[in-house]
Amino acid sequence: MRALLQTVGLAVAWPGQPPVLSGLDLALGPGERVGLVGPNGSGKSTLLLSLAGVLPAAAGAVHLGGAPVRAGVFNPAVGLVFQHAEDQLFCPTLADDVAFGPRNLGLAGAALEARVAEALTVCGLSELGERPVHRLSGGEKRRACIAGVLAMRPRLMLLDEPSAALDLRSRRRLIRLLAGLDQTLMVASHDLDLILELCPRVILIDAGRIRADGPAREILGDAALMAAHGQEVPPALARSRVAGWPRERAIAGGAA
Amino acid sequence: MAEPAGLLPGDPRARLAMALILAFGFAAVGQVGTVPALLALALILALVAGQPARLLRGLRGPLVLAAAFVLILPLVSGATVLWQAGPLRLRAEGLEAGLLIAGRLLAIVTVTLTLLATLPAHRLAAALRGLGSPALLADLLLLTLRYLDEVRGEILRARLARRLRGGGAGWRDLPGHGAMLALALIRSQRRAENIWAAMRLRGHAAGLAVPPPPLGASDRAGIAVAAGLAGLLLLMDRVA
Repeated sequence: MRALLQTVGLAVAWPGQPPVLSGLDLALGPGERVGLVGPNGSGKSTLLLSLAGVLPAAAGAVHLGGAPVRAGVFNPAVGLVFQHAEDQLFCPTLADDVAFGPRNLGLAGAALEARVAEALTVCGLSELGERPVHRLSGGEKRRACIAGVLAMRPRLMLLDEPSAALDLRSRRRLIRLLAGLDQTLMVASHDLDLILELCPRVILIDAGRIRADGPAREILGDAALMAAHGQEVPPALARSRVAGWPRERAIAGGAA
Repeated sequence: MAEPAGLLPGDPRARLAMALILAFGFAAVGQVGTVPALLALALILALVAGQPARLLRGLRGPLVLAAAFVLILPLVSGATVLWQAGPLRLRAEGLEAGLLIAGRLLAIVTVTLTLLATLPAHRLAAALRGLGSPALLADLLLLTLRYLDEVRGEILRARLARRLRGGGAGWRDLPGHGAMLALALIRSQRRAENIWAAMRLRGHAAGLAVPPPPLGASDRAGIAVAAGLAGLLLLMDRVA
């Protein structure tokens, strides 16, 4: 399978600082959903910004669909959902905000309206198009950000902490929404249960380098690996392990 | 399209052009005798737009400023004394200047609010671009508005956080307030940079958007009427 996204020896550094990321080689296939995990400051957000072409590569390269991603050059094939929804919503109404990208792609009139309506419907926001963005709830704002990116029909979507500060119902709704998308997804999150539910593959990064890349259950379930990089086995995996113990041992443990 | 406002043109470019023409026309008026016509014209425009409540809210600050001009200038400027009570002297030149400045100020603010207050910032920026101003200027306007909004929000949150942890609210703690302001500016700059990145990622300034359609007949008529009225006012002013 030919990779949709590929990085080769990618290094990223802020001006005058040592590299935040270095020597990153990774490839994502079309339609793949990949979780990006790691401790605070490990470089997750920086990686997403670099993949989206916001930050330039200090070394190496990023290719999307075989073409290089150049920093600062508009590339509608990749969409980034920022960690803070407030960073992304800048138009007065939700419909205006969702229309912003497609309008910049050259859509107008009925085609633009149809694109906006489609994105709002997918994100369950079709009733809220005329609502001012500052009057949306936290969960609605998060889905509004996704709608704004989806309306541009990107091939790759990068999501930075999509479930941060969401209540349980909003988080569940978000997971359902993301699970139903056809796009290739890369999701950076500390919400390991969300990653486990959404992403069959996980990349663990720490101190700017990839430390593990493989099936989500194997990596997230490796207590030693996770502990070595300041992480914990997600509760859902820990629970399933306890439930999977031999019956006698579980009963004995319970009796003790 | 802009939010409907009575009989005014819907195209933001036409409204911006009308506002600029009328504002420059009003600013060029030099005779106090023309002020009633100026104010009447602004009032008629506001009534045509049909949003008196919004207009009155926006006029509160300028009204205070205009009143200050009318009250203070006659007392401090000019030589011809109209009335005297003890040390207070009401002078004709100051009164005339005060009325002229206040009248122009209120008329300009009224037409600006009437024509532009219903336009969201990004539409106003797009209108500026549509009228041929440099893209950088339009972007600066857009981001400045958003940035100021962010700074205000940051300062309010920081002030609340200080108060909740026993911080002083008065001016005696100037260093504390200074640090809070500096922090708010730094945070807001980061937020503004993120917003700029989000806008660029969604194609802002990529030059792919469909160019705006030519102005419609009603928009062109609106601009012509504004130019005609501004010209008429200036003619009256010269004759007076």
